Amino acid sequence: MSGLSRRGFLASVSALAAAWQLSPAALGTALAQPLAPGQALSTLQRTILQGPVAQGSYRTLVTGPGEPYIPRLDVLGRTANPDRARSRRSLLYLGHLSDMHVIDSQSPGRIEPMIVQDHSAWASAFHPQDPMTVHVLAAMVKALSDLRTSPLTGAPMAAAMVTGDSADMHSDLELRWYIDTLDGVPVTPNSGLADVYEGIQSWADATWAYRPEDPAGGDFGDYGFPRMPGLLERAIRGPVESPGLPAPWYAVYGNHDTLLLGTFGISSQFRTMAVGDRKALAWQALAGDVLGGYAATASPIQRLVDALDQRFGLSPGYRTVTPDARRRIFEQREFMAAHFVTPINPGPVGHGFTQANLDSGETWWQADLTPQVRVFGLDTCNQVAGPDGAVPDEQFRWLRTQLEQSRDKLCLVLSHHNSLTLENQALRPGATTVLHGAEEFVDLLLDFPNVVAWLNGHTHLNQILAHSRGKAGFWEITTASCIDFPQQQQVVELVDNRDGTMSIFTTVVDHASPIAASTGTSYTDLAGTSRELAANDWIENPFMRRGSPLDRNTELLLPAPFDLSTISDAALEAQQNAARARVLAR
Amino acid sequence: MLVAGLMLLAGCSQAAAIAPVSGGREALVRFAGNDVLVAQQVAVLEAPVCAQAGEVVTCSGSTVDGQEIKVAAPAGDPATMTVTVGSRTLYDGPVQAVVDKAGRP
Repeated sequence: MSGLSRRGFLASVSALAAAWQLSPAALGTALAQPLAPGQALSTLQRTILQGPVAQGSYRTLVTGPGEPYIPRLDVLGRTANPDRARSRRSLLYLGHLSDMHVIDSQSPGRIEPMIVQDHSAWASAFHPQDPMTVHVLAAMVKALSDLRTSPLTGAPMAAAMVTGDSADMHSDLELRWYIDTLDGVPVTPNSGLADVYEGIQSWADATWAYRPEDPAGGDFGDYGFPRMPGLLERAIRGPVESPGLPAPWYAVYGNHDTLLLGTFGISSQFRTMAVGDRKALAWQALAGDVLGGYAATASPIQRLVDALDQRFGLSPGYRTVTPDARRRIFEQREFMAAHFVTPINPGPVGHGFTQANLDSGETWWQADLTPQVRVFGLDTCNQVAGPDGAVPDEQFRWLRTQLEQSRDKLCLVLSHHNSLTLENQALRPGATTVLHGAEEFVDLLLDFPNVVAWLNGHTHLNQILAHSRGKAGFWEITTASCIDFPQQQQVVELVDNRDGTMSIFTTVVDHASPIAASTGTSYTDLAGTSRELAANDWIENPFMRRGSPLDRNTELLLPAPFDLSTISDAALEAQQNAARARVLAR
Repeated sequence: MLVAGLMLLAGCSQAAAIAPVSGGREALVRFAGNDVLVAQQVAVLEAPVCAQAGEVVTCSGSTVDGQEIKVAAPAGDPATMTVTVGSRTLYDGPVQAVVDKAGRP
């Protein structure tokens, strides 16, 4: 085990100090320190569990014991070398975020009243914690920033992967809030009127919603949701100052970044409504206008009628709010373009998308995280209808070609959808595109033993599945969400065991906020309140979403796909020094 | 009104498609089965792999010492399940009760 030579180390320090405008002496001193496991709080030390009933069926949260890593042998197919921990070395340490669902809860471009029609089916249209999504995301970024050093090996975080559903309702403002929060740019999570919350949770007659000033008279009040006076006003005060992710982050599309509520085509009526001054109170009005527009999109006459209706407020069931042009609904290409409005640190500009993507309209990409690790970002979202996805043939063939050319690298695949939700075959009338489902996609990945992990999201739960063929295979790692309980994300580390096997460690991360709801005004206080509300959103079966212990803190073993000693210690040290310098520069 | 009525129907049929994000019976059974195995310190080689047919969920895996793991949840609401390792029955009861217990101190 030999790292950089003295000359190599000094050259590395000199180059990194110049690149990040750091003092060479200070950087050299920092990089000379050996890697030591990070001590930041994670679920290795503490978990969050359901506490006692506070009122009705409403329960608080309490802390539980930490969870150690559980080895999983499914892909390896045999017991592991008990001495592997002595010789392991880190190949790459990553953050993984998914399903952040940043929400502008005051926007008319939402369809909350649909829960009255069927709360279970439309559960994602309204959550009691909707006004605090920016706060939760910022608290999650803080947790990941705290975990910028691996709790296992001390390796610095080299990158963070974002697997979609970032902007909940396709709004420009939600898109900007999500990017800025990950970048560490302050966000004031308010729209419309300054200093006054105008969303449905402030309307006394929206009894079907959780109204924190007085929840009595509806399902949430009956359940025991507490009074939280002033919560909505605290939620729109700004700015929320996230520390920003500690590493370059890469993004892919989710179904909410593609379709309305991740499911429906976006009508001209909805686009008008989103920037208008009428917000729906009654689901009957909303269904007629929004879903009516969805079906009538092809009719210019209907569009004109609907536009006039929107303009002059002919439909009942709406309330007047302050319009805000920033709530504009973005187009598909604009999602990519927004990722270019970003600082270079943490970067990268484009966050995986490149100028070639903007020019061609292709929504998938590849990037080398290190000289030894390549990542492929796919767009598995259906462009027509439905929340679930598939892999379009063009991407399927592209991925096979790229993997053929990457056999000397460890490969990661990112997508929003997981193997249980890749079955959506919806096509526009007359379209002949072939959409590949989960079975074909898994088979494709299994053709390449150097594909070691597939990171995804979509189902808002922690889940880890093994896929193997013969003596090789890969791990599918699904992370939970920032909207539904448990509001957890994860860090992932690839490790060489130096015995012909490698391990992928997954560590579940709670956002850095208090366990109990409070009247505090900081973004972490509001994030803690959000988590407690989410834990009581009964329609989501919140505690199921934690997954089992085999889906949380794990060591996922697999055979090394090639001789990992070809990756030299010196190369890894240089890579880790670069990541440490970047973190110091932030 | 006619348009609104038609759209309500459209909304109903499409609303059903939102369901996967609201959770799934297969995931619930799989998690609960794993909770039982971990709580009872079963040395798992292959964690149960599940399949759903209608409301019926069945999962199978194996232990390090070569025994078969089976998780079976028949149709019915609320869901119940049986978890067996070889000839031993580790759990026979409501699925949700396992998830609830795992989520509390």
